Amino acid sequence: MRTVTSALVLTLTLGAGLTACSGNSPSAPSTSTPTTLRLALSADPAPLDPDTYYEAEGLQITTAAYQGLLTYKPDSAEITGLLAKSWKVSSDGKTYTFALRTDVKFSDGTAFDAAAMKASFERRVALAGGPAYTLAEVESTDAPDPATFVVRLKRPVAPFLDYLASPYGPVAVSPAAVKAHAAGDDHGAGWLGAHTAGTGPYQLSSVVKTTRYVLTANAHYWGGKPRFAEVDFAVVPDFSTQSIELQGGQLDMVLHGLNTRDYAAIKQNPGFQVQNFPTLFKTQIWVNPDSAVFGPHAARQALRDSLDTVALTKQIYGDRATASTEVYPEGMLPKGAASDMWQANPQALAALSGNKDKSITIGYYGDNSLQQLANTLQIQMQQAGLTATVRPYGPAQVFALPAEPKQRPDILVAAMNPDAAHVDTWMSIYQAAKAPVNFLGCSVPAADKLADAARVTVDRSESQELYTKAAREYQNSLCWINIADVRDTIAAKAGLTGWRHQMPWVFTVDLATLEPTS
Amino acid sequence: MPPEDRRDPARSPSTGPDSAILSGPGSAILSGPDSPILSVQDLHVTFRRPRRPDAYALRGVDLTIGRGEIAGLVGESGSGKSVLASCVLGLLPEHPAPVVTGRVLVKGVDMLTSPETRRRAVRRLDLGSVFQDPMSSLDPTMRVGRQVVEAAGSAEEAVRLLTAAGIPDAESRMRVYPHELSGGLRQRVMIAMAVAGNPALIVADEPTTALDVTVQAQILRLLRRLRDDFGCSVLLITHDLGVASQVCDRLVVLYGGRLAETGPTTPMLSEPRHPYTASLLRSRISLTSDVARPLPTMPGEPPRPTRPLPGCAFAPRCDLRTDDCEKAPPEPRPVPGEPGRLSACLRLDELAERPAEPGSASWPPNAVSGRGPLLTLRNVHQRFRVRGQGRHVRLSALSGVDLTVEAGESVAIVGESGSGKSTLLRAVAGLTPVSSGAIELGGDARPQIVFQDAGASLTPWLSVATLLGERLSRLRLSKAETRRHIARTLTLVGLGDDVLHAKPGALSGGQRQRVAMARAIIDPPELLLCDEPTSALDASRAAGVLNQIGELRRELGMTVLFVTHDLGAARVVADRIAVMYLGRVVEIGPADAVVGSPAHPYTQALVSAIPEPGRAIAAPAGEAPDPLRPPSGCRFRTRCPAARAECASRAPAPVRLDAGHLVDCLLYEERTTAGSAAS
Amino acid sequence: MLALAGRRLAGAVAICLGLTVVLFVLQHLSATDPVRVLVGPSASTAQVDAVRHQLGYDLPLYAQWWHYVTGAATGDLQTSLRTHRPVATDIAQFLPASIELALFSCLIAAVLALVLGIGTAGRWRGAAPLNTVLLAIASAPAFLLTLLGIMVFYRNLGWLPPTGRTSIADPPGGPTGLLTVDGLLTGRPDVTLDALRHLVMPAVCVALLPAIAVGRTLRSSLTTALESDHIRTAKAKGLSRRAILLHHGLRNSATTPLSMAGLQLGSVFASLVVVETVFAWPGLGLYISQSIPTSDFPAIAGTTLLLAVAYVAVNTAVDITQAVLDPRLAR
Repeated sequence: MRTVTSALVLTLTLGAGLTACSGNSPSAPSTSTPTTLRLALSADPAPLDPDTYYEAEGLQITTAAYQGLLTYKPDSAEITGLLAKSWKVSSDGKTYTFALRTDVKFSDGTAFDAAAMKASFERRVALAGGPAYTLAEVESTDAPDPATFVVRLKRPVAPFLDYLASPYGPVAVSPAAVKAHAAGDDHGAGWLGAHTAGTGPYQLSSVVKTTRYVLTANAHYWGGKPRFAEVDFAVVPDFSTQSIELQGGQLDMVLHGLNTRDYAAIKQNPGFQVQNFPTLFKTQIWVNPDSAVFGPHAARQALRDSLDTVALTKQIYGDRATASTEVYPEGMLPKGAASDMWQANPQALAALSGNKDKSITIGYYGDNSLQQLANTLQIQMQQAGLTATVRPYGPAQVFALPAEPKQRPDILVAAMNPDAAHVDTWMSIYQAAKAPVNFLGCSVPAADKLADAARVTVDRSESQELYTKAAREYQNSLCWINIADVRDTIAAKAGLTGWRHQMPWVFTVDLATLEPTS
Repeated sequence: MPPEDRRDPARSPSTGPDSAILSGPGSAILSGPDSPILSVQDLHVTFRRPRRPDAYALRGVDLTIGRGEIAGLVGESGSGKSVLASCVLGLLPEHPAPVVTGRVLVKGVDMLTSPETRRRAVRRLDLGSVFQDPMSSLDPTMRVGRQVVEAAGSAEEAVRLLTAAGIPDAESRMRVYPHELSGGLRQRVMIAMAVAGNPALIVADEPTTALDVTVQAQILRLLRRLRDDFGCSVLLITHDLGVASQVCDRLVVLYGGRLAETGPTTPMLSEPRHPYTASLLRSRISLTSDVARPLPTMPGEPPRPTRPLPGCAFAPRCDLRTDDCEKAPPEPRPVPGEPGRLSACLRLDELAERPAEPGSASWPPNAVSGRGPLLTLRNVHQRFRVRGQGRHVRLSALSGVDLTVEAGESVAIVGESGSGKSTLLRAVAGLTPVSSGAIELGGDARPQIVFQDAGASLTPWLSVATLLGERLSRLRLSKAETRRHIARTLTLVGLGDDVLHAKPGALSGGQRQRVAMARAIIDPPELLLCDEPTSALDASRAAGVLNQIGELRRELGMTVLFVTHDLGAARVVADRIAVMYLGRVVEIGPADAVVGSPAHPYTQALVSAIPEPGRAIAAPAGEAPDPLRPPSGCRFRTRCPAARAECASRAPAPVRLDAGHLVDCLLYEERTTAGSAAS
Repeated sequence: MLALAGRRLAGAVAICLGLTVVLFVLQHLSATDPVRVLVGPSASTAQVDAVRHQLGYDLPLYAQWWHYVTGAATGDLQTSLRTHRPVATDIAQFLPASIELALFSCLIAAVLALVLGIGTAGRWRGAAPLNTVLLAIASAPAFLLTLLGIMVFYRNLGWLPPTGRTSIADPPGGPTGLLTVDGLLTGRPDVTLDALRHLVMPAVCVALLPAIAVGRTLRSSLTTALESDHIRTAKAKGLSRRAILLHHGLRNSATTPLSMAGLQLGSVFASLVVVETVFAWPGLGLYISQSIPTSDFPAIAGTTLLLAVAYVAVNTAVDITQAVLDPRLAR
């Protein structure tokens, strides 16, 4: 339906152009001052408490309001300090000591120090929300002095620093605010669902559920003053409407959701720009090892060989993605360590035409690009003599797949991204036999063993080597076939500059560095 | 005691038939002291309909009505009489608008060409109207009072008019809705609205056709009285010469959109001067019709408005026609020696001297044999659960009916609406199981039923051959046999092979009725059930249907159970008549005995309420009570002129008066021996 | 009439109970895992199980159902998995926006239906083409109309705002929750005007299809009514065309269009979901359209129950109105 809608919008745009005549539309009552940035959310976000919030829509708000100890450099997997100026890791890999900044204040005006960080860690564990897994191996924390914060782990955790740099990692939440707004034993979670108390450049100043979220600049922010004093989010669920509003001047930026043709059309318009940023997203084909057709390894091999990733990527994403060349997103493993390229052979699937069982289900989970990919695969399968049915999966259905083997499709088209730029966050979430969201239940015990060992190996290069071996094992199972590295694509009005973005961020840019050209 | 003879001109105070004027070519006749209320001059109305031939509804009609005159406009369906009424009211359909020429003046205002506001004012002030079906003619969603006030102007006036129209307790009746009133009261409401504002003319279009005969008598009397009290003129439109004869000073007979004959009522009915009028009178089913032979019928079909003939419209059915008749439509001309009479017959002079036609051959002797009873009803009760006043109540439609019908016999069940006669028929047909009692059908009698509007019950997309053929499937005949069978049956009902492949829609009403009859008898049933098969038909057609039933039962030895509200038809078709009132048979006996010397006060009332030319009508007071709350004891006592105290406490048992003549009335209980019925 | 209302109320309770059973069975058969959606992909199985237990999703189905029904009887519709707030609270918050939209839609639909019905019932030259145009509109999908509306009235003409209920930063929060009414009650006509500007497009989009459906029904029943015998009586009384139409024609042709209006409620609910999504109208339609993808069962069940009650209530009101309009039905 969304495809139809978008096609329609395009048609209407063209039609409307006739009457609107070269863009001098009388619309767009320019109510915004240059100090306000107007964005859209496609859904009402979950409660914005950073210790329970675990979604994509609304990440733009939490990342603008909260900060953790560490962060990633722009568009890189390299970690750098944020609230921590520097850090040390003990030789047993279990004790992390952070030297904190001393010039930081929360948006409520109270000072940030090690005790606040300790309280924030404890709060996250106590709330036991979705992102609490980042601290699952923490044994204790300590604040020997206001500028020193110590974390002790039960055992070494190779991706721990990446957890701290992740947008879903632990952040500093003002203990004063938590205390002031606690209701019962909720640790202030009720209040923090619609307010913020972090150290980031913005704070949430107004929330009208399903309507409007307003960020205003944090007066106590320790960094440079952001150029936009206010960021106004309107909840506009329909992406076609968002597109029209952007072109009508009602919005300054659309963070995601348009289709390839919409972006191309907007790019052509001199009043607008389209920005692409690298992410950890990979579009993949998950293969069901219990499938009657694709169960045999040779069949999976045939499936993989038949796929021309370059052509598919171009067809479906245009310049919003590049064909995948490595098993994991860029920066997770040394470049070339787990290369993932093959010679496409469109005839390969023909080998399956002798199969007794010829009917398969192609599931897809995600936006219209994935539906398009599923449809393309369906055509290829049909040409190879298989009978393929395409079936959409919503989040609730796809997350039920690990527990519902009967509901699993033969292959599932999905675009996944891990929380952090560490290969473990991919393997342990999606690929390990006991991984929580190993949708189609593929089990590669040798790889699991290697990954488990790598996770507790202190030495980084040794650990990387084990992960690389595990990566090859997973790769050889052919349960996951990579198609494309997907970018974050943002459409905005022309004139906005100062773009900054981090790889694990989803539908999110750095609001603090954005500036309008005068 | 007989009521006054309404047709005696001397007794009409304000006007006599002589004030009737017919302006027309050659008319040099009397003009009354007053200028005419209604004057119709050379009126032509042609309906133009897309993709269908034009229909010439009226083709040059002249007519005037003087002050205080009651004129009866008589004609069969299709004669143009209702179109004339619409012209008078200025209410011809607007889409598509018919082509109209001529003039229709109501108190000098042309109802065809005046602006709508003017015509509306005339309708409001000078015209009143009463239509056929009082249920559909009243707004079902508006209280009666408000509807009358719309015409009367004020509530006081409305109450006065309702009272004048004979509605008891008018004040409280103002608050009820039309559906809460009986049919007679509804028509009285219509009449109250019609006389609001003292109109000069009331147009009454078949005002009594939908009413029971006793109520019809009351309404006719009311119309007459209103004329006397209000001094208004009345244009009474009816297909029934009997009805017209009761109230009209003058008759106007239309045929094929043209005037056939007009004149004062009495001489016209005794000595018709147009073959059509004569034919109408002859084919009328009355209490004096000769039942020993088939009823006289009019040959041929009525004229079609879409195909007007160049000459006299009646010529094809007329046995006096000459070549001249078919050249040009004859103009009405005065009847010599009879002032006020006009006839559009070229040979009207010869008509007077014509000897009475010899009747057709008598029926063969009746086929009632000693085969024993074919149908026996024993103490049949039929109760329905109906919703009334928000809760379910029990309606007793039949309360202990006993009836035996001999094989080959024809029995008519006569009663007014609500008497249970149709319920009885449906029970016999097995359409509804009875609540208690027994219905025994002798042999393997498979009753066939012919409904009131039997023509409409034919599947419209099937041909006549298919409709008839499917009834024969039980017999598993060969194709040739089937064809023979169908042809024979069509002949029996008086249809030719030409209708075989026609669909019902292409047939005339009478033809459809015959096809329905053919369907019922093609596989001859032992028992034929007829539910008012003639009530929707014009007199001449009704006679045809009755003749047919008579012929069929004599030829095929069929047993007939015939339900009707019309005693005249019952007398013609039946050997015996059973009269029903509120779910009970109150009198049963040989047809001649029941009609000729009715014993039960109700039967007497029915007989005397039948409008017959040359006979005054009388009607019992009131209407049949609500069947949900029947009176105790004798159910007729509330309307019975002879009711006594004990009638309320005791239900009468059947008393034998004569051979096979039984009556349920306490008047006769003291007579222990079967004697002659009291009159 | 009280008895009718009573019977319908009993029926509504039965319908709602049946509906909860259907919802629970469907939810059970749908093979979804809302708990995993709630806690996210990275949470451990133990953590998921803990939340599952806490929400009672590990109970047998009938126990979950009983728990839900007994709660619902006291107004507790459980907690939304997506918003983490009581569903009753969510509904209370989003309901006024939907009510305001629905009321205005009904108003517009009623006026449109009357105009269309009367306009096409008359036998004037334009009636047939108008009828054809209406048929064409009636067969267009709702979302096409909404997008067309935004393109024309916002993007091209700039007359109307594209989304939301109001552009005013601090709209009054009460007392009715209907901005148009609250603006007047709190003495801020600018709020009312602004709310009306926002209302027009979505309300027309919701109203259009039902208006056409009802209008066409009205047209045919009005045509029949105007040819009936009692209208002839009214004409013969010398009443004016207007009096005939208003006092006799409309009332007698109201029952069928009213039934149609009651039946159209289902399609109004459906188009509320589409229209609220496209126009970013913060009402129940938007709420439920965001709840479905995440299998937010309490939210879906609560909203569905509410809609069922509204459906029964409106159709009962229709029946009662019909009985008032046509006394023959009151028996």
